[in-house]
Amino acid sequence: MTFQLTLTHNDPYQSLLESHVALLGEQLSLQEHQCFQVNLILDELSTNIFENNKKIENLHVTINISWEKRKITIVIEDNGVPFDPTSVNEPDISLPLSKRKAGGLGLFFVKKYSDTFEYTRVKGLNRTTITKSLAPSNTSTHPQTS
Amino acid sequence: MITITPTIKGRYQLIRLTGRLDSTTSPQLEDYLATNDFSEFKGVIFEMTELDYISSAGLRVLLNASKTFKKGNIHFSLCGMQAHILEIFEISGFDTFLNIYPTLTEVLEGCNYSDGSTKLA
Repeated sequence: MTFQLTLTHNDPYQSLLESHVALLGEQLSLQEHQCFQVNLILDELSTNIFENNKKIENLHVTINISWEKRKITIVIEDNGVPFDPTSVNEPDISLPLSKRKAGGLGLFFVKKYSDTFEYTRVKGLNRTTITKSLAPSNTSTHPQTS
Repeated sequence: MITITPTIKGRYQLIRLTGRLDSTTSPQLEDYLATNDFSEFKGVIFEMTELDYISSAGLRVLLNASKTFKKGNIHFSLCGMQAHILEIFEISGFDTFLNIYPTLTEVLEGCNYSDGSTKLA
């Protein structure tokens, strides 16, 4: 099955992403933390695209989410400036407070929560492809926190 | 949507966050923190039991708040995070420099110590 969503600068994209992820969660009986991770991936990548392309009025971001069994594939295409999100350096998470900066954390989370994270430039479009396996509800892979 | 609910607990400003802290809503928290004077308080506590979502934009606001409070010698604590929210703080390493407590009770117990030996003192 597939969900498809096209977003522009005028759309409340985070609300739309949240509601689509909720539908996906119902379809696949996802746990709350799994919905959160998928939502975060979509949000961070979309926010990056909108931030990087503020001057492009006719920006279109197309998000396609498909799934087979417990594996989802997310394809995001945009007509913004060429930008490879997989090439961004990871932040140094060992730095103390005084030296920490927040830049790069969003894409760091995307990498952490994805199985694969790939980018290609195709016919004038940025195309980012993510795959993620989602364990069934009764076999949580969520780390225990105290 | 984010709801910011401030209340006063003794010499501490308690701020309950409800909803989502993302790139759309985090400016609201940023404005709240910039336009309020916390210097009369010994500390500021964010209660996050009902915070369902946080992205890197939300972490950015908390990072800047932490730096500002440190300069002002105001203790800054977070508590009550849901497991998936806490995981974000752990993955990003923010748990190494922020005071994170499981519950508000544990923060307030720390506040009551008078010998200055707690994380809050």
